[in-house]
Order: sequence, then structure tokens, then C-alpha cells
Amino acid sequence: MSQGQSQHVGLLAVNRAFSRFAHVTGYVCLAGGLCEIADYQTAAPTALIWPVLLPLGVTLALLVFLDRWRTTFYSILFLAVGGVSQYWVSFSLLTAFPSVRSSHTLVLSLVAVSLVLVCGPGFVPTSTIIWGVLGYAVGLAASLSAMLVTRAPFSLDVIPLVVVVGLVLVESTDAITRSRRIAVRPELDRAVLDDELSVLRYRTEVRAAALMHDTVLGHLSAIAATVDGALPTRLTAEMQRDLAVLIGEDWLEEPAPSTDDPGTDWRRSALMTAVKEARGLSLTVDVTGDPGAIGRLTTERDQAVGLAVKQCLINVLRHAQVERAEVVIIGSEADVSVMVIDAGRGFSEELIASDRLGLRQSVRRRIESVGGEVTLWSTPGRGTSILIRVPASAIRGKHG
Amino acid sequence: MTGAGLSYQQLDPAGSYGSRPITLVISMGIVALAAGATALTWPAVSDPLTAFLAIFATSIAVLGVTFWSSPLRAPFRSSGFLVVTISAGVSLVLCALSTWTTSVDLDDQWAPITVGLILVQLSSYRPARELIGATILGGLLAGFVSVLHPTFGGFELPPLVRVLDAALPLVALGAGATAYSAVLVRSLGQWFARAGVTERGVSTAMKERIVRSVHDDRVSILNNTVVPFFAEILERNAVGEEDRLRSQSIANKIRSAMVADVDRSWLDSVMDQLAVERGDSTVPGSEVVQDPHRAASDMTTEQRIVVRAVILALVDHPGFDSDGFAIMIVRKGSAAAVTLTAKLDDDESITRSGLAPYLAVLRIAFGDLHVTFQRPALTLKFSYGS
Repeated sequence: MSQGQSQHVGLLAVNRAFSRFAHVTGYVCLAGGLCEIADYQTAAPTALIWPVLLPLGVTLALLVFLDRWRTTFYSILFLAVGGVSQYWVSFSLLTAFPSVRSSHTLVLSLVAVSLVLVCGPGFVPTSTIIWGVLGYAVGLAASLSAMLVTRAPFSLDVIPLVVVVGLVLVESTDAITRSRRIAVRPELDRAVLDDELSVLRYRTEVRAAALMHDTVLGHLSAIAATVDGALPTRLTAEMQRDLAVLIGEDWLEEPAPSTDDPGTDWRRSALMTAVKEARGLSLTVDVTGDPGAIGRLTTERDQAVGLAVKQCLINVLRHAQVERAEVVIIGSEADVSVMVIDAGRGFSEELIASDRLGLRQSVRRRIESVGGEVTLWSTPGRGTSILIRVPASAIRGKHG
Repeated sequence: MTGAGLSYQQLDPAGSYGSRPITLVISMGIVALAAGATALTWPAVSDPLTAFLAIFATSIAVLGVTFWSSPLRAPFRSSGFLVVTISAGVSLVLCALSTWTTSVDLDDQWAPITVGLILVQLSSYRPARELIGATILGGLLAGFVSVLHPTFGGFELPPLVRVLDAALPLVALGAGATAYSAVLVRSLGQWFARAGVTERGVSTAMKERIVRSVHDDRVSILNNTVVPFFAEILERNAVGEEDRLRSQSIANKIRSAMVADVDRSWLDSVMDQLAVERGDSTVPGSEVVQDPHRAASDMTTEQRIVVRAVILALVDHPGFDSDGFAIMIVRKGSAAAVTLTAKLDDDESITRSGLAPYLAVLRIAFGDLHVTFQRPALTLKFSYGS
């Protein structure tokens, strides 16, 4: 949604809400009027007041229409019928109770108030003001006509006057301060968009950094540790493969989301590929627990877990000074946990040099970027356990 | 939380800030109405002290709305709502008591209208559920008082009419206020939901550009260093001492560049991006950010967005001086405290300046915002986390 649209929608929402405020207030007034008329009829059974219920009911029904369809037609119709209602209410009550005044009872003001709150079809404050003043004029004319016809002494009904003055003040303030309201919104919209882009860039950079670490830095370290002579065949093959991938076009693209259909065969998952590759490097890896749970990961999370586990197993090979590791897979309804355990020499995470990125980048950040978390337990001399936990997709039917 | 439990202010703090001038106008109108009606109907006042107390209680309620709707005190909390509605209820009873033995007209009873108007004021700040509750209780109270109220004057009203006349202004305005709050929350909720869907669509196109940009950066680094080295070694298929040293040197360079990237927080990026966009010395870069524990990354998405918008508003504010700008984040256990300082050469009060709406939004995102402005030094302090 563009910034201009968001401003417009915000103002429209306020306008629609004000219109609903006015009309609901009108409903209550008219419904209250119906109840009061019925009570007046009960109090004076011989007087002919009840026919007023008809125009009042029609006015209430028209307000429902007007609230739903704020058109000029319904606005004019509402004012016309409402004017007749106001006249009829005033005429009937002034005839039945000649001493009654608007200062005695609200019933003489209720229709007039709902007319002021007509709102009309416009979406700007000036339009609401014009329709409100028009509504007030119609109500006043109807009341005055009834007073003239019934020869009742003239008395100004204060309540509709207060309502129309209040309406003018509120809507004028709205019109004057509207520009300030508009000024803030684009900046917030821009911040929302910038933040979204920033998160996207961050995730892409995490992915890039993790891949760079897994590939280029790994090979450079391997070369630095190689003795004079020909490169090991495996290293040559991996360098050729990774160079082709890194210079290619799509190594940073996220895998197509497959949230709706996780459940790829766990035997072909990135995690099992990582285990096979570690075994190819002479590390004995025992896989226990519930490997099928891996099938409940989305493609993106499966790849992140696979690459993170690969880095953990490479760390075992390089630093743990053991030749055996265990990968335990546990699935629950909410998440999938993978624990990589070795009984090697262990380490203290705080003592890892700040420029060592394997655990930080290739494991922790990578997993965090797909909504997971990493917990590490390691004691020098007593081995290491790394728990990787990522959200799982919902269990549906069967899974691999 | 359901729609009925949300307020307009919670959903759109900037929008509700825009309603504040209307809140102030209604505040003045309420006090004028209470004082004016009391003065005009003074012969009907049997107890002047109670009449003054009724106006006083109304003023307390109105002052409460004015005070708690300030951008520096947002959000309008339920405790404030309670104080305001109780004061309004007291004013309703006192207004009736002040004319207990002498009331002649409907015009003497101004409190149901002022209480209804107070509910209208609250509709921008409190959820529909609370407004309808207050409306029902207020209506019952007004009706109950009218039943007890002795009638004088020249016209005997039927009993139901007396109750309705007393309660209708409050109930009508309260129901309207409830509808206002509910419709705004629903409309904005639907709008945000639609906007979210649209933004995800937009992001797909932008994402490709970002991926391409990151890819090109990395490939450019690789092409300058790694690719020629690997190609040479692969062609030669032999490694010597010089290759090992070169390999170590390239690895160190790449690693240090990656560490610098990894250690940059989103806040560093915001400042650097702003400095690049403006291309002059009016905006400082990430050097103004002091976040030794990388606590900025613990902010929620909403908090990040608001801080980003506030920074933008500050640097765009007339009189902003980049020399005094600093952001310090200190971690305290699992929480973090932010101190943002800026120099603003601004004559205007901070609550009336263009920054006020941003402060309102900041108050919603961080409940404990403290603002100090002693020209030209502006200090914003807030915290997050638990």
C-alpha cells in the first residue's frame, strides 16, 4: 500500500467512524422518542398521540438506510421525512399537552437532534457541517410550524442548537488540524517499509555470510593446513563445485516456500545430506531419535538446519579431537529439535575469538534467521552438546 | 486481544494524536456548558456549594482526559479511564443534588450531556468494551437519580419519560462513542490486514533487488581475491608455502569484513543509510550509536519501526544539529535502556512541535518514555525487554 493510500484510508476510517457515531446517536434518540411517545399515550389515553409512532418509525428506518448508503438521495429523504416527524411530534404533544415546552421534556428535541447528525454523503468536514446546519434548519422550521399551528408560545429548543454548535466546532477543528494528522503517517509508513527491507537485507546477508563461511573460508583454511604438493582430490572437487555455485546466479535465493507441503522425505533432507558428508570425512555419526520429524520442516528451515548441523559436525572434526558424534532428532507438535553431541575436548563459548564465525554465523545466526534458536552446553574436557530448535509445520496426515 | 478490547490509540497512535485538538475543544465545551448552564439556571439551584462541586467534579474529569491524552503520557491507561468516569459519575449525582428541591426544567440537568461528551472524548483512547460498560452504568445511574428526584415546576412527566429524559443524552452519546471506537478499530484492523498482504507482494519484487545487490557485492569480493587464487591453485594443482600464507591472508581479510558486517546492528544501518541518502554532513552516521552489547537487535518489530521513524523525524526537524546527536543503549539484565540525545534549535514547546505525534507513538511502543527538553538539548529515555 502506498503512503498516499494509507493517509487516505486513515482519514476515510475516521470519517466513517464519525458518521457511525452520529447515526448511532441518532438511533438512540429516535428509539428513545418512540418509547417516550408510547409512554405519553399511556399517560393520556384519550389524546391522539400514537400515530406519531409511524413517521418516527419511518425516520428510524431511513436512518438505517442512510447509515448503510450515505448518498445525497437518502440524506435528503431522511431530512424530509425527519422534518415531517419533528412537526408531527411537536404538533401532537402541543395539542395534547398545551403547557408542554422543550425545556420540560426531551421528546420535542430528539428528532431534531437526529436531523443535525445526518452527516450527508461527503467525506470532508465542511460537507458534514453543511448537512448538519441544514438538518438543524429543517428541525427548527418543523418545530416553529407546529408552534404556529397550535398557537403555542414560541420557545427556542436549546438542545439541537447545542448539538449543531458542537458539531460545527468539532468538524472545524478536524478540518484545521487535518494537515497535521496527515503529516505523520507517511513517515511511519516509510519506516515500516524500510524496516521490512532492512530485515530482508539482513536475512540475505546472513545467508551469504554463512555460505561464504561454509565454503570459501573453509577451503582457504584447508589450503592453509595442506602440506606441500598436490591438493587432495576431495578438496579440489569441493573448490570447483563451490566456485561454480558462488559465481552463479541463484545461490542467495531463498528456496521456494513450501509451508503448505513440508513432508519431503527425511532421507533426502539437507540434514541427512550433512550427516552423509561428515561420514565421508571419516567422522562416525550416529543418528537417533525420530528422523521422520525432519520431514515436517519447510524447505527453507530444512536447508538451514542441514547446513548448521554440517558446520557443527565439521567443528567436531576440526576441534573436538574425537571421531564420533551423535545427532539426536526430536519432534514435537510445535517444533523440531536436533542435538549434535560429541564427547570431545569441549570449549568455552566466551573464549572463542571474535573473528571466528563458524558457530556464531553458520549455526546461530543461520538458525535464528529462520525463526529458530540455538542452545549450547560445553565444558572443557567434557564434550559439547548443541541444541538446534526450529518451528515445525503443522502435522497433517502422514509424514516421511 | 479482540477488536472490542483494542483502542484506536493502540492501533493508530499517530491518528489518535490527530484527534487531540478535538479532545481539547470538547473539553472547553464541556466546562463552558457546565458553568453556563449553572449560571443560566441559577434560580433553580437550591444548594450553591453542591452546584460548584458538580462543576468541579466535571472539571476534574475533563482535566483527566486532557492530561492523560497528552502525547507525552500516552497510552491512556485504564486507571486514568477509571478516574475520569468516576469523577463524571460524581458530577452527575452532584448536579442533580444541587437542584434537588427547586428543579423546574430539563435544562437544569446538564450533567447527562457533559458525561456523554466525556465518553465521546474517551472514544479515541479507550476500547469500545469499556465505553459501552461506562455508558450502561452511567445510564442506570442517571435513570436511578431521576427516579429519586422530586419533581417541581409546571409539567408532570410520565414516569418512563422522566427516566428516559435523564438517561438518553448520556446513553445516546455513549453509544455513539462506542460505535466510533469500534468502527475505527475494525476499519483500521481490516486495512492493516490488507496492507500486510499487499506489502508481502511488494516485498517479493524488492527482495529480488536486495538479493541481487548482496550477491553482486559478494561476487565482487570473490572476483577480486578468491576466484583468481582458487583458479590458479586448481590449474597448478599444487600448494606451496607462499600459497598457504596467501590463503591465510585472504581468509583473514574476508573474515574481518564478515565480522564487521555481522556486528552491525539495524540501528547502525539506519544511521549509515540516512547519512548516505542525505549525502552531506547534516546527518551523522553509525558512529553516533553506542550499543556495545548489540541490544538494539532485541527490540520488537514495532519498536524498531517507531525508533526509525523518530530518528527520521528528528533529523528532518528544523533546527536539528547533528553535533549533539547520540544514541546509547545499555543492557541491564534482560532489559535495555535507551538514551537518545539531540540538539534542536526550536522555540516551540516540544508538545506542540512536529515531533509531538512521534513522541505519542514512542510512548505507545515504549511505555516508560521520559522526555526532557531544555533548549537546545532534547533527551529521550526509554527501555524495553523484561
